[in-house]
Amino acid sequence: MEESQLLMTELPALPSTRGTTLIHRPGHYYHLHQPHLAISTPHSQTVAHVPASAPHYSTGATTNLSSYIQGISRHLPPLPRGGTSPASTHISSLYPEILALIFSYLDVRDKGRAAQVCAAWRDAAYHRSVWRGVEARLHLRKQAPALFASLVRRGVKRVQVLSLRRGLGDVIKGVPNLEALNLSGCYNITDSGLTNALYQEFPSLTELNLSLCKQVTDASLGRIAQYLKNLEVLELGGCCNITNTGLLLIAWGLQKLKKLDLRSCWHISDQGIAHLAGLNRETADGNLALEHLGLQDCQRLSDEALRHVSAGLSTLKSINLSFCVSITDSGLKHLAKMPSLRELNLRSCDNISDIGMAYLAEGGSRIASLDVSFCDKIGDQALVHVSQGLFNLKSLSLSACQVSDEGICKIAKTLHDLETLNIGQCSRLTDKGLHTIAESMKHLKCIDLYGCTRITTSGLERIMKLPQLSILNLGLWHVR
Amino acid sequence: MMPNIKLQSSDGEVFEVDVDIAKCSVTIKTMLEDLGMDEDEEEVVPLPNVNSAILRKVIQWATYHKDDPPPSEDDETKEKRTDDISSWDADFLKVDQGTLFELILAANYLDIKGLLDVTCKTVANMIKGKTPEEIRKTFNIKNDFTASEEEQVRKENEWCEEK
Amino acid sequence: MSGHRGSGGAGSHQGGPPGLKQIDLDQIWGDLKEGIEQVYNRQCMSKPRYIELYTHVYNYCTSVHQQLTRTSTKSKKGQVTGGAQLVGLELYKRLRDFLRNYLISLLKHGIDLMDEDVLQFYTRQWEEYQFSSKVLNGVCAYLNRHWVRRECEEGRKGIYEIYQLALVTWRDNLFKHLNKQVTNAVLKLIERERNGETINTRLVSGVINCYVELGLNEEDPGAKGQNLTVYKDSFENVFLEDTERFYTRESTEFLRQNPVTEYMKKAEQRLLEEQKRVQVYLHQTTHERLAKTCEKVLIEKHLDIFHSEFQNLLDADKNIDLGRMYQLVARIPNGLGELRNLLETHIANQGLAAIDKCGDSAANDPKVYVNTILEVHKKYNALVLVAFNNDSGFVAALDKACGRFINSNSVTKAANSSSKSPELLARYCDLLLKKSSKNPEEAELEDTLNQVMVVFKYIEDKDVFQKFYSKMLAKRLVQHMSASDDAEASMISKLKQACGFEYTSKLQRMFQDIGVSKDLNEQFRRHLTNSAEPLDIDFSIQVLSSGSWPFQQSVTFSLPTELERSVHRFTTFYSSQHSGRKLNWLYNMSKGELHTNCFKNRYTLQASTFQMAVLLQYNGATMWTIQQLHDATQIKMDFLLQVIQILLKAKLLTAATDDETELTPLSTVELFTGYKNKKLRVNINMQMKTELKVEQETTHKHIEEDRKLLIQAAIVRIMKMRKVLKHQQLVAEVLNQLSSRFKPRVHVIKKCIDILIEKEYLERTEGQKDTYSYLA
Repeated sequence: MEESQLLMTELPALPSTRGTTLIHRPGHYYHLHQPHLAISTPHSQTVAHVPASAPHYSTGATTNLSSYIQGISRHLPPLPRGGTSPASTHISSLYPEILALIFSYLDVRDKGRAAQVCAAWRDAAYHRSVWRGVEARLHLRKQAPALFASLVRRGVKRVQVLSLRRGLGDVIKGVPNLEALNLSGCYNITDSGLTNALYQEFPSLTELNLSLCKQVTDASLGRIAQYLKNLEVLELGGCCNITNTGLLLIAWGLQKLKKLDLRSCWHISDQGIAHLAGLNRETADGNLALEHLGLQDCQRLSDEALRHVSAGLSTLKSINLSFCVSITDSGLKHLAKMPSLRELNLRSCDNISDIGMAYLAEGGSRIASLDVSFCDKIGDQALVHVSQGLFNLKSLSLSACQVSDEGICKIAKTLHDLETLNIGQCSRLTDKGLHTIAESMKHLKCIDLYGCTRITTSGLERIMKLPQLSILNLGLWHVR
Repeated sequence: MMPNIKLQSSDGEVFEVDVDIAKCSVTIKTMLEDLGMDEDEEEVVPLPNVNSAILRKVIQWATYHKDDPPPSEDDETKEKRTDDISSWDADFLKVDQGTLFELILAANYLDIKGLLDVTCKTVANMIKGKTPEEIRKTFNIKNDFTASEEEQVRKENEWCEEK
Repeated sequence: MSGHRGSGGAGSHQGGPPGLKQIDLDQIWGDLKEGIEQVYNRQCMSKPRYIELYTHVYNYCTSVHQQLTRTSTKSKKGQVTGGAQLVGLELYKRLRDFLRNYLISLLKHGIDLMDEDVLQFYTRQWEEYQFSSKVLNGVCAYLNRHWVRRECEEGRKGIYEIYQLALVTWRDNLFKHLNKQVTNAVLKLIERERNGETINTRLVSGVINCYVELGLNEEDPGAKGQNLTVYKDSFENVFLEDTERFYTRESTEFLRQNPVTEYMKKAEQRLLEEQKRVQVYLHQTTHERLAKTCEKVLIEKHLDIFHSEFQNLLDADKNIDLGRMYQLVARIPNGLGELRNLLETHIANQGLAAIDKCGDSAANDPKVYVNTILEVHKKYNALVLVAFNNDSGFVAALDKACGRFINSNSVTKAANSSSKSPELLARYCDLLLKKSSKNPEEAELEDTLNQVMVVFKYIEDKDVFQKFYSKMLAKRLVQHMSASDDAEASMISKLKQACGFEYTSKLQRMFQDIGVSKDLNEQFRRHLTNSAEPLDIDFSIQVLSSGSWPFQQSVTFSLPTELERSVHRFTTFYSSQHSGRKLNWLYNMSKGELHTNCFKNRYTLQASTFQMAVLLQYNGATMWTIQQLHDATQIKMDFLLQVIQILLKAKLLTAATDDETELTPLSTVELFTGYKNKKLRVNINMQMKTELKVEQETTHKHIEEDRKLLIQAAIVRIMKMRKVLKHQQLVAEVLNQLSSRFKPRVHVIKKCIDILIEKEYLERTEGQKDTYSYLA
């Protein structure tokens, strides 16, 4: 498994403090202290060194099988002379369309380097098909019209601004068909900077990321709601100056919005959610196409907010409520009724208990993913409820919950489709629970057992025999 | 009993191949659909752009992959990977550059998506992580840029180096 | 032309990669064109030739970039790749021109053709062209795969894959000029088929297939599937107009010459035909619009005629025609309303007429009454089920109609009370459940009881039914006249199902009391056997819980000395078992058997306790005045007179006067020693006439009182919850709450409100008209 896959964006969990004093530091990556126990599946690695070509085919060969090169594996150093013999077909025989196909498999850096090899490669590398889906990451320091022209020619429609010394208008004007603009972490973006850049309707833009642009206020949202009518994704995590008024503007203008992240927008309250849910129809229609709503750490939200969500946002597929400490069990009654909801994150919601799980299960919720990690009022009784109603679960996270073997046995019996089970820091768990898991949950692909201090190698050995298992985490951090 | 089809390489060698294997080539598959199969069984299909060595290898590849599911339409949103080459294919492609390129050309001509993909991935893996100059060395390519051209293309692609 | 780059050896081996060959379009076009002509002339093509053509296109497409990248590198605005695109366009244009020229010359052969000739021409040419174009598309696969795809990616308009290009070219050069006459010919053909001729449907389906195929999505040529614009614009719309015209004429014409019933058959058949037409040779999306069009013309336009015919069909019981009409009209949105109304009125009238026809017997014979109702219900229930598909609207019409005629008809009007129906129904139940020689088999009885429930469902005054039913049940139980305990229990459970637990709780209690009494008698008997002194007469009792049974407290009565001991013994026994319970004796419900020693034969007389008391007096003397009897028995005089009248009628006693109405306290009554009867066991316990009459009157009076209490209770319940309510809303809620029991009359509700205001449960809200508030 490659190093890069071990990178984490997960919050550091401090078991003793139970989340309330955690500081969220997005953008910081944590390396795994203890590597994953990776179980390789067939076909995942390609490093075998076996002589090629079936021998009985070599008899009638007229080509130069003799000048046989092992330059195909990236594990081998390139041969200094490239290994071409005069009689051999040269790479220049490949047509631009083929070069373009080859370049499409390269990452951005290598695409850029390929373009600098020779004129023919440059021309091929500038095919639009090569750059499909690529996001250009730029420092906006000096004027660079040629750069934008070349982005346009390649069909690059996604831009991430890494740092900003010039006006945003350069990008907006330079890439007229821009579809996605990521300004995440550009702390010096201001309302006036944004409003100056957005001086007219900009119909191509569908994604805008303003995470951690801390100076942004409702004024910017007014402009966005007015001119970015086709916006489908809007990320405002950490934009802590945003208020309910801003949400009203979003609810008024952004009818096509599918994803909205409001992490740590501390000022917003139930009323703001009512705007989004279209419950104040006379002023704003609401974002009725919304599918993903991130409300992590919006601590002023109460159960009332969930009532609004359930009343208005019928297409919602996922909602993140972690650290929303005012949410209680009764709030989940509303969520249970939502027909499309598949993903529910309640990490560190201190007021969620077993009863809440009963409401979810009885209300007929069809969620496939549930995270109640660090909810220390969640115990075995919760798992009884889960096992009696949430039959569609594919992923369940219970890290640091008060569950024991008994509860695990309950879910093992009914949740046959479960693919991910995170039960790290469930210190009451023993090998008995692992045995049950190993016997019943045949579809399990990932399991986290970090900090389960009472399990032994005997239990682990059983777990590792699960046929589909590909990730077993025993380290502090793990990828979800 | 599978019907066979006779394919003739540019240098005149005739290969008799199971029709289902030959249909890995969309070009041949389309031809059979357009013209019908039942006519002259003895008719030889000439493939003027593929020599016998390469055609042999192509047939070897197609025989091994004949039961693969039909290739999916390219999903544009999906990230393209190059680390998913099967070990059989990796072994199969342990050939010199010239053969590899000719296989690419043959796969392109015969429209065999699976083979084209895996050969192009192999070339991509040869490019990965190299500087332009290292790439030129690897493939014996002459830098034909003028100085100003080179400067322009370098500027245009500077941003690609950002992590 | 020397695009030689790299160090590869061009043509270093035979048939090597063609990348380095330079090919000018003119080099290949000659042979390619020849091949394409071969394709479009439908000449047989060999596989080598096919591959050769494919290779021409391939070689051309893969070589053009070589010559041009060099020259265009320095062009302005960085349009480096412009050259290759232009040359791809060159081939594309030649193909387009070829197709256009081919079609222009083809058009000359078809432009003057009409009707079937033009169809023959068009479909044949289309099929061949379509086939050839698929081959051309295969030959040009490489152009499609790279050049065309890239052009589309760059957002260029008007560039299609070669097959699509062939379609567009056909559309613009042939279809545009021929479609009017082709569509016309198709429509003519369809009309001929509608008129009964057999047509060559392949001609139609060929054209339709072509129109469908031509509807490519110009906005997004890559998108799969057609958008049907050509089919809809050039065929479907005209076809539907034509259809409407055809059937407007036909239906009007047909209706003028044929009865409606025949017309309905015709319409049904036509609808079916049109449905098949879509299946056989039109596009399936036409189905809905065509059906709508036909329904509008064939049915909706003639709804008035249908409505008036509906009544005729009902009158004549033409169920099959009724069903057909239903099926047709049901296709029209909201079309059935009028039929439902007509049906409701019809059933109600039929019900009223049937009851009328029975005359007096209906009012007096519960069986006739109930069966008459059931006949009507059964008939129309079957009609609704079979002909009207059990459509919920028609079921509702049936229910409404039955409710109407059952609760208000000539019988209830004659009795001046809607309570007559529940009373008769309860009496019918009594007939069924009372022991008699005519008791049906168990299964049959169950069936009949189910029928009773059908009628019961429609009874508005369910409380009246309850009153009568419980009275009669009480009698059956006390007098051991029930035909079957199972049947009784089954009926109670049916009523419970229909009206809830509360409705039958008293009935159930009565039923239980009888069971308990059985055990009690058993215990008492054992008690007596074990005691030193057994009773000299056989004595049994039933203990009935007061409140559950519809019986009056007994009148004054002096128990005959012969019975005193038994009563005393039992009272002692009972109070030893249940201390604190008080027994009240229901003498008027009691009975016994007397053995006679005074007549020629020894008779056993089954008598009421009052009769026994009188007859036992004659153990002391053979003649008494009525006053004397009254003194001895303490039976109220008017009652006593009735008792004596019955004994006189039974010829056990004789009086001086023949006219029993002339009896006075001073009249003497003598034992008739010459009494004779064929049977040795004689039942003289007849119900007294006044008793019966009084009973019915009191029942009705009780009902009124009970209702007032129920209404008041409902008002209090509602007000307790709502606190403040408008008069209208209160009345509505009361009606709603009590609907399962009876239909309260509004003026009674008003009266009850007044009573409650008086009792200070409610008050009129100050300053607000017609509003009450609850006083806790």
